[in-house]
Amino acid sequence: MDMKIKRIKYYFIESIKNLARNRVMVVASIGTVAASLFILGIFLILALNVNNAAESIGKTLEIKVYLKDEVTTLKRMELERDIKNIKGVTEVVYISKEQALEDLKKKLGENKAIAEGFEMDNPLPQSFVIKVEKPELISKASYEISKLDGIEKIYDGKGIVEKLIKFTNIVRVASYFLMGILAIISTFLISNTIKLAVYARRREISIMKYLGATDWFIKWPFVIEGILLGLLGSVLSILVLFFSYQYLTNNVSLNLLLFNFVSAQSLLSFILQKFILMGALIGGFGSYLAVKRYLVL
Amino acid sequence: MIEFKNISKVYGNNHIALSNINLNIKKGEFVFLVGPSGAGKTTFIKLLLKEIEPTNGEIIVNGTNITQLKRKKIPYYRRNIGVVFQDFRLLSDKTVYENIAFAMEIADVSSKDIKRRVPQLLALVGLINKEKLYPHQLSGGEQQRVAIARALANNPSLIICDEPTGNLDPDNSWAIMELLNEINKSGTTIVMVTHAKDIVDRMKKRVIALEKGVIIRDEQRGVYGYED
Ligand SMILES: Nc1ncnc2c1ncn2[C@@H]1O[C@H](COP(=O)(O)OP(=O)(O)OP(=O)(O)O)[C@@H](O)[C@H]1O
Ligand SMILES: [Mg+2]
Repeated sequence: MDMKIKRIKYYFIESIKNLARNRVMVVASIGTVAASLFILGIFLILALNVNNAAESIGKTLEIKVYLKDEVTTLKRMELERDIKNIKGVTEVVYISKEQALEDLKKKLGENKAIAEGFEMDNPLPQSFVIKVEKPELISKASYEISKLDGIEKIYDGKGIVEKLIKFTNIVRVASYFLMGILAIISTFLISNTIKLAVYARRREISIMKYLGATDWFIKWPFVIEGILLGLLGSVLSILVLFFSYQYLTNNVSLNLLLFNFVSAQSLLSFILQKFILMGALIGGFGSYLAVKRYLVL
Repeated sequence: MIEFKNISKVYGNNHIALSNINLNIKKGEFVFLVGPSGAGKTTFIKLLLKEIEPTNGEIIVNGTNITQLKRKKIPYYRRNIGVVFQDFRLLSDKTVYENIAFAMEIADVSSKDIKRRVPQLLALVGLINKEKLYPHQLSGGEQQRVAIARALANNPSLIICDEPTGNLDPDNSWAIMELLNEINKSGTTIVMVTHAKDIVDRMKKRVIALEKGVIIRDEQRGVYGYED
């Protein structure tokens, strides 16, 4: 046990010595790992917030259905029943012409005199306010409603949520693409850093072989070096993302927006483990390639 | 201890470095391997260390046919052989003590045993008070003594030297030879490649002379036999 710990300590010290020897490549490797994860992070921030927004918009989002004036009470109750039967519809509220006028007056407040003349001949239509289960169901539901008789006009938020989702999908593809390229570049840079470390140590490596060192005794410091590079890159990206996002959420006025930002803390807990794991994987893969190709034992 | 059976080595460029070598070295022998440049002496040593493979034949060391040794077993085989080179090959970022201890760490020796053994080895090679120095702070003779201490670290039954005195002045060369002679007296087999005529002539050990890849002479208590 004592031997194992000593051995592991030796591997780490050797890999850190290698890192210290080659600063330029080390900075480049860590930088690209951090950049690729940073881009992934930007996308995740966007996606998390869009999801969050879609959820909160979805909860309040309604379909407004204006009815033709000639719709009778009987016909209206029939319509209400038909709409309730549409898949995903959870609630249908009827607003009469009178109620609509009351609401308008409330909205106008001091200026309610404008609506005064409407008492005699109310031009406001009767309507339904409909709620659906999920935002994705809105356009389907409003299409179903539009097929019914006696409908004057339908307002369904013009598919805001769907547009948001479509937008995030495009951003997702673009950022995965960019991240993929950067991940390849960082793997390549890490593997190159390890290659230089192997070359710098080739005299020591040949001596170790004469002394009877096993292949893995020689390989471990290089493999660990790569993993450390990946980990350092991921930690850097996490720090930059966390603090810049925290700054953003603290300084952009939420009142301007329909929804709340996802908190910096929950962003951190969402990305922490994933990013560290990805950094280690990129680093491990980079050193695996280098050790396989350049460490001839 | 060491047996070469019909060993030939042909390098990739069709150069025949060794051709049909047969020899037997007994446990505890001290053998000089001599011959002009290009005779195949280093090739002989590389075969023994399993750094290269013979084109033909078999090498038996301590009863094991090393030509059939699996790759994974090579490190463990090498731990039983101490090697000393003309250019010392010490690790420059490690002290004298650490250089010797490292050979034992590689071989999975416990810290306790390392702490006990390294001072013994330093005493043997006369470097007790230099254990904290780095190789560049030592003379050539001292560096070679560190290399010998390192070669002895894991109690090998065989020590191979490729021109160990090649970079040393006569006084230092003799000091190294006396040390190797001591080690040999305690039972360790030694195979030493050398171009040092006076050393070979004075030591009166077995001499194997190679020329163009062939053994042309093998004498007990032999002499160098060349004028160079
Ligand atoms: N890797 C190699 N590829 C091709 N030819 C080689 C190789 N190594 C050695 N040789 C050739 O094999 C022959 C024997 O070489 P070797 O190194 O064994 O000689 P040596 O006896 O040690 O000479 P020296 O006294 O100069 O060290 C030489 O002619 C050399 O050019
Ligand atoms: Mg040679």
